[in-house]
Amino acid sequence: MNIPEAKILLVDDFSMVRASIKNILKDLGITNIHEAKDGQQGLDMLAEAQSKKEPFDLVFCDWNMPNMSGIDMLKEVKSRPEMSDLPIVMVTAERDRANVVQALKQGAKDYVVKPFNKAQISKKIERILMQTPARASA
Amino acid sequence: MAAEQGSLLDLSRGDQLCQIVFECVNETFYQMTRTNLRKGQVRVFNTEGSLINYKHDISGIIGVVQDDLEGTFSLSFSSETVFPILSEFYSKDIKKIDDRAIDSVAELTNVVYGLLKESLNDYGYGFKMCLPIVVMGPNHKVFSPLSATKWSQEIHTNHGTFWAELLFHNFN
Repeated sequence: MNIPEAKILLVDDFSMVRASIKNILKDLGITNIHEAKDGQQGLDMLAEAQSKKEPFDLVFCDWNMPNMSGIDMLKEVKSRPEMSDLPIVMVTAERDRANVVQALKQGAKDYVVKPFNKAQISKKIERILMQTPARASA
Repeated sequence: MAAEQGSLLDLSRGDQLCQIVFECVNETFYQMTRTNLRKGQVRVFNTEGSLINYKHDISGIIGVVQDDLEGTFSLSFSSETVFPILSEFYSKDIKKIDDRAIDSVAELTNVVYGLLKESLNDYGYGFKMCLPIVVMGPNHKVFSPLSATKWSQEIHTNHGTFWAELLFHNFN
């Protein structure tokens, strides 16, 4: 899909991380960016977008969050057939092998460790979105 | 920052420890806020010394825990230092310690500790991830009432100085 047209959801309880990723996405020409403060809010936004036939194309999701953690949100998304193909990139503050394996087993498309840089995020977005048809028209 | 295979960092070597701390803080601040940092002096305090330590306006504090060692890592800022950093990052004038400032100091502390944990664990230490807290208040001090050795790394920015401090309890 055309990268600047992507609709992306950032799920993180820390505004600084959402702002960091948002700045990188804007540099890539992506403007359709939405934010959620925890897994539950993120899940609700994904479901609402899906019901309106305006689904997200990619999600960046923190690991540790109140209300619903990132891994629980990932499991929930992957259990719903209408959203199971949604690519999710897990964002974590630790390069813990067990966490990474768990996320990939649960269906995460990729992961990124904080602090990340523009090149790392850009590379992942390009790799994922270039392989993915736009979900709204799929 | 990867350790040489088979090497073991002597945690009593404050110079080595503070170099690792600085590298973790520097990497985090550069990647997350594009702030360039310069390493300042290292000071070593015992518990009594820490009582006369610097005064801060906002501090992010996180546990540094493994099976045999317990400690604390903190980042402490004056308002004069942290506001310009956050204002530049958010492209908004931040003039008070609000939710955004608290959130940012917490996350910076969290990410620095994630790197620090990884660096120390490369040497064979099994430090675990903890959750940060933020303490705020004009001219507050951060000190431990327990027997402890604290390494305080001064860090300079173009806007002023802040401190990264690592403290171990029951340290021999």
